[in-house]
Amino acid sequence: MTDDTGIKLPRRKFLIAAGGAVVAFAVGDIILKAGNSGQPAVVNPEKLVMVGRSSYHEQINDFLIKGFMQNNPDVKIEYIPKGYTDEYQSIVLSMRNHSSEYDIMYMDEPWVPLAINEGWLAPIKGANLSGYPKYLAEWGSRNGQVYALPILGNSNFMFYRKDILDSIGMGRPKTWNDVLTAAKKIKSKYTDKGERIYGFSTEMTTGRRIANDAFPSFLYPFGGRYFAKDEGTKPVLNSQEAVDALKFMKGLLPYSHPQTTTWVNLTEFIDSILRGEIAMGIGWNGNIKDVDNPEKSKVVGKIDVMPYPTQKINFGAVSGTWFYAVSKFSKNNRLADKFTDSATSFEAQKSAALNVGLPPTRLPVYLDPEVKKKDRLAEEYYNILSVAKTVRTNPKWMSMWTPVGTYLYMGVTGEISPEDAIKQAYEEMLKVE
Amino acid sequence: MRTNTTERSQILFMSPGYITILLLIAGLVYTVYMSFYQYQLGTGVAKWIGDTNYLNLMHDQIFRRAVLNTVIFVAAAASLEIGYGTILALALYWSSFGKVLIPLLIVPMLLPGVNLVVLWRFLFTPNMGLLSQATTALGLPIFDPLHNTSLALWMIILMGMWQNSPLVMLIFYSAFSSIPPEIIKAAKIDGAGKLELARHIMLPAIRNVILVILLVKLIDAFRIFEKVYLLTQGGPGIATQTIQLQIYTRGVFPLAIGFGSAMSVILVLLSMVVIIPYIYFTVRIWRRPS
Repeated sequence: MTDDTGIKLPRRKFLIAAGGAVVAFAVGDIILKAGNSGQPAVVNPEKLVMVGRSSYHEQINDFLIKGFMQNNPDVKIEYIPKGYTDEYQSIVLSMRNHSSEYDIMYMDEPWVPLAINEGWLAPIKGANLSGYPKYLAEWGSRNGQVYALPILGNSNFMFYRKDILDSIGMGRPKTWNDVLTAAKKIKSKYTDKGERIYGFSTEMTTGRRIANDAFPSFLYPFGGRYFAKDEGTKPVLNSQEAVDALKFMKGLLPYSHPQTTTWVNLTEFIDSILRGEIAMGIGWNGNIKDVDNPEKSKVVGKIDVMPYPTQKINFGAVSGTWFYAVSKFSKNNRLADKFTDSATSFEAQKSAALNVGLPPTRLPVYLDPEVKKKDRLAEEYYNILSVAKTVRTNPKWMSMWTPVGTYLYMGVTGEISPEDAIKQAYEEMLKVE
Repeated sequence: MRTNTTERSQILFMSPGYITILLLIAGLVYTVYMSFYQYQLGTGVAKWIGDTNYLNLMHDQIFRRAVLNTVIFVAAAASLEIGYGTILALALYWSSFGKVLIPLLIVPMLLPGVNLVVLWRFLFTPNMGLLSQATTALGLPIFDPLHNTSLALWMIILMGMWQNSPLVMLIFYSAFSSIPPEIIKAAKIDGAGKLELARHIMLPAIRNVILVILLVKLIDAFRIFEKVYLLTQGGPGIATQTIQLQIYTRGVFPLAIGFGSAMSVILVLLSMVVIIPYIYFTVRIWRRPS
């Protein structure tokens, strides 16, 4: 080593000097921080980390976390919001590496059986399952142990404008044939006369949307299924019922909103509902949460909801619930259990329903007088959640929905025949299986 | 002694490069190896399935269309971006307002891809988009190219052309400016018009620059992802599916490592089929005495 003056510094001395400088810096930093605090060292609060979704999920989870932290001032919970894909990948990769980075995981319905099968979840001690519909209580349980507690009770259901259906002399549609008849009448009475009111719409866009949000509402009432009813994972889409459902969907398109197969994003679809353009449709709780907000909606008090119309069978509705689960690799399981138990309680769900629009998972919350007063649709949601069913029962469904949804889309838009679409979608499911 | 020290220094300084190449080769070999497995990362164990992933892809209508779209996109995007960039550069070279126009022309290049997509949507969204409102006002039917199976891919190519051509323009413009003015003057004295000048003097003079830019554009075009993902998500139907999008939606998102690896291998092979011969011929041209 040579400095500017040409003096040679031996390597050993250089290393000793550099090491001494690092130690002096570290010690100085510690002393400085201790001096600045002016307080005796305190024990850090207990900390939990939760991974979850962004958007309105984040708002709801933040509210529940704040409520828990107010009652437990010694606990700090950090919420890490992510997009759908990111959250799924983060959970899978973290669990695969047996990482303790997440204590609590906010999980979509199809992820739960996958996580239980893989042994990633710790049983939640003393979980209270009262008030949950049976299918939801069972979904997060295995061999008498509870691994996941339902928190956000999304369902896929039908919504409709009462005023429009009254104006064409039709009440609440009972069957899909009623929906088609009503859509035709609405086209004649409104759309063809230049009014921007369309008989029907849902998110029939390619890939995930049509596979998850639109097609099941036709498939199941028509008697078809994605997966076998008994064991839940074997693909059984190759049925005449599935073809009939897709043909019916295609037949409904001419009487639907022109963007039904082309919504660029969810916001466009929701805005169209709020502008009153859609007389009947299929959606989730979040899609219509602002219909009675006069600042955002032109259809205040005009939208009603119901389970899917029947056709061959009376199916009910499709569940899209989100759950809290505790990581098996968490170093703070006991505290994480306490949070999940507290945040999913009747009181917490009621408070979140009143303040941030949580669709509760405990049925009695919907019947609470304050909740009913705040949300005129609460009783209908109670009925829908009571009859909803889980249909995304194969843990590999996430690998299937893109090709399945692409073929369904091609079938409904006429690029290929409905028969071919169902056949190819089914073959894609088998490839993944 | 000094030679040994020099050699050691050379090896030391080159080592990051060697390590990067080794990692790249290891990654490629591992990708090829994994493409013969069915493996959902994080769940279960990898299962050897031989060439099944490749056979499935060969019979997969969506993937076949994605390959075709990728080839169309690479050919069209690279040639249109360079063609349009060349025209702009020549126009600038002859224009008296070149210095004023350059900042305006490079605006699309400065925009992040996401902003560009939002702008494109604002232009073309049916019912609410600027273009559809204009056509409606004129009593014409709504123009909805993003949801038209024949036009959607071309709209993405057009968007890329609008964004990327300014870079080509800038590089070619600076290359034109470095041509000795005596050559241009001599050609003019000989009676050459602007078109003859461009064709016989200017473009041949910057031949090597054009070849390099074409290579960069080819490589860039194979990596098309974010514009398609944000603008059309591969739709309508499968009209704008590309290999990269397929790798993401069917490989990366569901963590289907085997299937995703097979698609990646096909993408690498396809790009090598185009790019390696191109590099070979380009280098031959460069080495040829002018």
